[in-house]
Amino acid sequence: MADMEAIAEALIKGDRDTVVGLVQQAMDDGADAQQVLNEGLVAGMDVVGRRFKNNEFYVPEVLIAARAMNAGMEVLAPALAESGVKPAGVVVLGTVKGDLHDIGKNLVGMMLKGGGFEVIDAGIDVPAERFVELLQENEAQILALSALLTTTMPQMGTVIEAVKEAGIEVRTMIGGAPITQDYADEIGADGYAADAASAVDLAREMVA
Amino acid sequence: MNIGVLNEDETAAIHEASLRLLEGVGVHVPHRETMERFADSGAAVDFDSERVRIPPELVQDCLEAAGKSFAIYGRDPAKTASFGVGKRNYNSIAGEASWLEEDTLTRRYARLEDVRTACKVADALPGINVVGAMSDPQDVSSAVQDVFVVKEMLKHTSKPIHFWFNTRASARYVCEMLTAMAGSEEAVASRPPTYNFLEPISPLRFPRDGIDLLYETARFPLPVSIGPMAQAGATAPVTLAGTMAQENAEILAGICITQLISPGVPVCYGGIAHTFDMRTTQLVFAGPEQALMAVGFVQLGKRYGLPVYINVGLTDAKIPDAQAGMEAGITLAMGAAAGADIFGHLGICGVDQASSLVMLMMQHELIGYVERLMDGIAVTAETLATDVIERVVGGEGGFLGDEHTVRHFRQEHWFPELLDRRFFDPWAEDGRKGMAERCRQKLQHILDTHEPEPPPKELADELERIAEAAARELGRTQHGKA
Ligand code: B1M
Repeated sequence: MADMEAIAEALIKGDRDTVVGLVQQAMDDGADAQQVLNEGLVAGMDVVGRRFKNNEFYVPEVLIAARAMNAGMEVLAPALAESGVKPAGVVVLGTVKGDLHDIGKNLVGMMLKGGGFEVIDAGIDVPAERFVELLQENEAQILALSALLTTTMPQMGTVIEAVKEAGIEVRTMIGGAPITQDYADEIGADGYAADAASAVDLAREMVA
Repeated sequence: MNIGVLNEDETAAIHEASLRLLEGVGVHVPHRETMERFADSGAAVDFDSERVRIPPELVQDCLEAAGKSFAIYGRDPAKTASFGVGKRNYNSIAGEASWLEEDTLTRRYARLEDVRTACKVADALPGINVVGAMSDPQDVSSAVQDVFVVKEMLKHTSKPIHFWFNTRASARYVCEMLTAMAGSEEAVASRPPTYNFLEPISPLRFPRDGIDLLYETARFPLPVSIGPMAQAGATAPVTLAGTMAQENAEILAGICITQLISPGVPVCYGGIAHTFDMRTTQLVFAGPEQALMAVGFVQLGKRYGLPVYINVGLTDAKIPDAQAGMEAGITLAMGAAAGADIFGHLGICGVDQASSLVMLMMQHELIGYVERLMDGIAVTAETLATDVIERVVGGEGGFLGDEHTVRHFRQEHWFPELLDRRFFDPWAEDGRKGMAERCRQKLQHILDTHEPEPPPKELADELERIAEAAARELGRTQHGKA
């Protein structure tokens, strides 16, 4: 019988190899992919998230657990796809045009992945048209925009306009050092997150 | 006074590690002409991946070629800042996105009017000898932001200035302004009013625009400070030694770039790596690691014979409070004691996101404190004063009224302006004010009383004309802004 607790435990430790091994073994033993996902991987990530909020875990520990989670997900992917299970949500993420800052955006991406989201990373210096293109190509529920410069934040409004004009239905969230809730309201974004951990919470609310 | 945290073997080990990185991993230089210059000078250049591997000999040649000292001059040429000659220079921050509103302790986006205020205030502070714009005005189109900032700066301070250049296109107009002020390009070259800043992107990359505009300022050329903001644990190894090896490699590569563009141009070694807070994902501006690395970078930079710039005297606190005083005080004292040439970024409050004029007041007081520290203890027959002791012990009076005391007390003891040393009652009767409140009062006094020397009318007109031309040429409006 597959040991869900062992999977969760290895994930909490960020032990990618053990997670992959155990998940593979569980599947070989005929376990239900959905159950491995929920009771093994997601259960482990929930503990990690809780410890992070309690200041017991710091960001590197969260990231290494997220990486183990993703590796486990890859093993499960074929079976999940077959049974029609979808990720928590699909997010198109990028740093807007004119802006090269990506450390925060990458963190947001990694944390979202750890939270079970599929993340399509458009990179840095991304023009509005490219966001529109990616949204058209993928069935994303969330558009996530990052900007670190007061000179590039207006681009976020431009992207939101372009997306609307293209008739795409998507929830937008924005973030980055100079961004505030007021600014999000001003340009008509659906949400703002101050850091990567709250970005995951916000994304969960958006797809709930 | 020269404190250190690394011994000679350790600085050598960091230097060697940097050279290995430069030759083995190389740096990303997304600029065609610069890659060609590297290739011509013996570096291994992969033009497709834009990676440049720099051999140790080229690093050595460029280090030798680089100017090791320079001065910058204000509109009033008597106001200067000298680098590489054992002087300490204090620079208010070149620009921040946000502005701390002192009465409500809230942040708003920085504006052009803040540049005027920042210049006026720093102009009045004798301890600040390089005036930064402190604000990245959000109410100016980004295409001409630096042009409008420099226009205000040249009008509202007669000291040397520091601001962020934008792009090569806008730098052309900024150079025109500098030339208008100095009288000719030769005058800018011999008495530069500012210095340029090249910021490598950790790990081991360079920004295209940052390199490109060096070709514009090469016409003088302006001295260049090279300062990567490696973040230990995020964009550099989590270990301090590893971060220092990488940051040092980035600075050395930057020095090579400056020398390939303008041989002999003076440079400043900017050892401004930080740590990354693993709990909050914030950059850390003033932890103990900051003080350690800053001292280590001074040692490395001085090993190359270069002037050194470090990020100390700063704070992670969001407001000028006790945390701010503690962090700024310890780091600035250590950085100064290590022998750095310039302390940039004064006036930042809250990592690297906002400026506060009250914080600048606190730091200014700290500068006085640190300057006294650096004066050290003079030991001579006169200061040992055994004859005075003999006289006082044998006589009636104490030391207080002795002529030896009168002769020396103003030099031997520092007199703070804002630190409170009164008895309790007078302090209480004066409203029980804490340090931040006293800083606020001093700020208000400066705002009410100080008037910077205005520029000659012809210069002011010329600055307006150039700014207008830049706005016309580079696009004036961006989302409804002036
Ligand atoms: C979608 O939903 C979301 C939700 C949350 C989101 C989100 C999206 N995106 C971010 N978040 C949030 O979650 C993240 C993690 O918890 C957080 O992300 P952050 O990105 O805030 O946090 C990161 C984890 C750590 N923080 C960072 O990585 C940013 C740190 C600072 C120091 C910084 C860095 C490192 C850099 N910089 Co730049 N840089 C500064 C920054 C000052 C600061 N303290 O913010 C800032 C942003 N830079 C500035 C400037 C001026 C510039 N920079 C420039 C360049 C660079 C480097 C390339 C050297 C480097 C970036 C390297 C990289 N790979 O990203 C230049 C611009 C280049 C360009 N076109 O983009 C240049 C123009 C400098 C120059 N003259 O060349 C300033 C902006 C001022 C302004 N007007 O807005 C600045 C505030 C520093 C300063 N005081 O001058 C949250 O904001």
